Amino acid sequence: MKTYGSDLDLNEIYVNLKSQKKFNSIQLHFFNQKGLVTSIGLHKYFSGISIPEKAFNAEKSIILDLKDSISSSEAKKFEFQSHRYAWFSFIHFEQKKIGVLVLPSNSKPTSSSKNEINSLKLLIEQQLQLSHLNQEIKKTKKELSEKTLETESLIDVTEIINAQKQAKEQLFSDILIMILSIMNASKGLVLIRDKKSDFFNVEALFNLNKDQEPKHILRITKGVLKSLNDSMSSLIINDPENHKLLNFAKKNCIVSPLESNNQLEGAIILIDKESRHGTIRFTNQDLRLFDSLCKKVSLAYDNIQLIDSLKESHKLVENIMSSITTGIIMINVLGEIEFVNNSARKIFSIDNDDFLQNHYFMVFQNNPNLITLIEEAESQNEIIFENNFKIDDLGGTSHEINLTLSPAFNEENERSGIVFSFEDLSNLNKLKSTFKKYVSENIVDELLKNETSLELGGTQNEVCILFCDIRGFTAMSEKMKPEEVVYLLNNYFESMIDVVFSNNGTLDKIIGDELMVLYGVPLKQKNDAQRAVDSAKQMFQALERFNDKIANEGLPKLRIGIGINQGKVVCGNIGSERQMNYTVIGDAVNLAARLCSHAKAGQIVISKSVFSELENHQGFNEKDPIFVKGKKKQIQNWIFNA
Amino acid sequence: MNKILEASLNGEVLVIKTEGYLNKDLGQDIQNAAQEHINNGINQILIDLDKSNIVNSIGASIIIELIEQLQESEGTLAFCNLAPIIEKTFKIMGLTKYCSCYPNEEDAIKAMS
Amino acid sequence: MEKKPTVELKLPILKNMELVATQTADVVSKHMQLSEEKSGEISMALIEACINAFEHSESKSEVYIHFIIDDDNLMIKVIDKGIGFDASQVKIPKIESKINSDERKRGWGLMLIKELMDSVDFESSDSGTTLTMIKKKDQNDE
Repeated sequence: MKTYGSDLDLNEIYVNLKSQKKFNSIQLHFFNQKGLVTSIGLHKYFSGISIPEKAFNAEKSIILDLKDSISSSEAKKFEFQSHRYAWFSFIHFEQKKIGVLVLPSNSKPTSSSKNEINSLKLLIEQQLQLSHLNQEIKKTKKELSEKTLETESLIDVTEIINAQKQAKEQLFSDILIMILSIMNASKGLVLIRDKKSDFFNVEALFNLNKDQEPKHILRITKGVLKSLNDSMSSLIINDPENHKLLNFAKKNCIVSPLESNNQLEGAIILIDKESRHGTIRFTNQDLRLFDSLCKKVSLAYDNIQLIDSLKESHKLVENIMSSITTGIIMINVLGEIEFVNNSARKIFSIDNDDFLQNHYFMVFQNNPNLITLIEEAESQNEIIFENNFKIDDLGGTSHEINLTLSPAFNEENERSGIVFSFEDLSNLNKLKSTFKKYVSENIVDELLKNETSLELGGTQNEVCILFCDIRGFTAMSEKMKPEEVVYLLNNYFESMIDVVFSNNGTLDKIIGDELMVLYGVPLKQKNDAQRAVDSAKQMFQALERFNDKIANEGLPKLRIGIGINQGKVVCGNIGSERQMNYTVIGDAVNLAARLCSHAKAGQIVISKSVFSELENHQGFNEKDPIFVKGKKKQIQNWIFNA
Repeated sequence: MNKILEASLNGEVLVIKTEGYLNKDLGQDIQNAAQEHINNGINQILIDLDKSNIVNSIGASIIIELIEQLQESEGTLAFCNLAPIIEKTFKIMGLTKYCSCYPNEEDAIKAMS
Repeated sequence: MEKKPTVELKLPILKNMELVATQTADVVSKHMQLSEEKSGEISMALIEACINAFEHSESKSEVYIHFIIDDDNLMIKVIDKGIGFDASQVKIPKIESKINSDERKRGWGLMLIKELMDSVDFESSDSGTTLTMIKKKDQNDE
């Protein structure tokens, strides 16, 4: 209960009053509901005195005839003994009677004395108001300065937290130091929970020596962490000696939880407060400021976690984006390029970030067709797909791409832009065309479709081998000019290889004028032998056409002989690192070669293994078995005359 | 199936040798065996898991409590002859931060004395 | 699609029955020529998974364990017909913190399984829980 009287410099008022000589024995009493609490002007202070009823009920100042209104004992208390009359004038504050001004007098009151009393009373009331206001101002000032400190501190803490570039350890170290200095703490610790083991680790500490650092298991099952976990609020620990973690504290400690999802994720602990006079205790006020600072950190910790996991998933996304060979470009609703992945950069030959945030009109200005497509995509909601679309990259090189333009939507199902994804076919084409040199396109497609069928290293397979020689070529070429020889051969091979490929054969090698073809690798098919034979027959037909053509050019006609054998061979990349060929090795190969050399011009010579695979033996006549070097038995053979 | 083979003092270190599955039961047996010695002032314990090559997390968490208890009196707990999977499990659980793992009893005793 | 070779166990909920599962796991691991290290990790994860499953079932029924053998990996399913649980369940603080408290068990199991296996998945409803974990084979194993 407030005692108003104590705020005023009552002595001064009293002295002032007294100095106005008219009032020798002025009294000023303040009271609460129970009775008087402060009295000035009386020699004694006592409570329990009661104001005479008449006086109490009076609204304004009243003068009482003491003989009538007051008992002698009361009169004694008020020291009215020698007086006949007494003025009672109540002091009001905030519409309540809080005190009374008593002026004993011997003479009957006059109106002027009444006025004087009233003005005295007003004076006192004004001073009360003033003093009260002063107090309020002081209080407000104090609160304001506390708030300012708090706000500044919060700003500092926020700045640290938002400077996300630091590693987590550095972050907590900085936060701890900041909070330590705001709170004037002597030592501090930050504990963070290990996600896996549930134990708490020291993430940052300040001013603790080796012995003071915690080495024991820290869990929420006991100690400071248990208290924090149970209360989930900041605590002041006044008995640090009872806590293993804090028993080196000199005075007391304040601790605050860092929480996320209602779980204790960490704790910030401050030990001992520093002041000019040495180490002192933290107060409840300190606790309040500490609490608001740490709450901020706690809130931010959640965000830090989120940002960390976002960074992780961002990294993950980036990794995925950069490892896929499909180019991806994201265009926002304004038409600006928002994202370009690594493959897209490669395909378009972009080497800097100039692409980003620019409009696609600018960026793709070399590719008006592409711009038209994107415009189309912008205006509709369907996915646009184009095959073998030609584009020019930034360096001017042409590429063929398969592209897809899809509308993109955000979580609220609003249009958020376009995803432009594309595959550079040029590489694929290059691959195909390289491969195409050795196998027909069909086989390439087949291989590319079915990875497991591509066994390029050391396997044994049943293969059909065809050798095709130009009879008497060496002699012929000596009579021709070099250019003519090359021209002739190339054109010859071109028609032969066309035949090979149309029968899905694999070109193994060309040695001079000799052609070696495989059927059954890299992809085994059921009718390898038949296809080999068909190829051979078609080769003769193609040769006829070829001969007619070159005859017109004045070049000599060519005559060929073909040998075909089927058997087990070893297939693989043979050679050295620098020079390697995919080829086949084995007896079956040698036999095919032998059969070929046995073939006269216009003949196809085949072995039993081939013969038995044929559906149609028409045209094949068995001949006398021939001797082949290295083999004891003679080899059966059939000859077809083209 | 599983039991304590031996629980005896080697100098100031209580060596507890176990056999079999280190589950809740065996974990409690270990704690009980340790308790008496702890009451007598022993605060260094070596657990030899040579004959135990399976553990579960409950058994391990009982060991954690034992470690906590020892830490009250600045004591230590160590292991020796750990099977690789047990060492790995202890590492994941965070145990290995608070106790050492030695390849054999001799090395452990030497380090702990 | 051919069905992959599967070993199926039906375990009663008795003490230490998880060791039956680990014995089987050892044999399967050997059959798949998995390394010692992987074999140990599988057994450890399996122990924890079984303990969890036993807990959900509250000794009412059995726990089923399926080992599905594939060329590239071993998939193990631990199935119980118990009450199910919500992995994101808020921890209800228990008053007693006796040594036998269930609180402890729940903490480690799932975390260990996730650390030891290559992928972990589970579905839980009030008619049971299926935990599926996969250990991949790699070149080092053969």
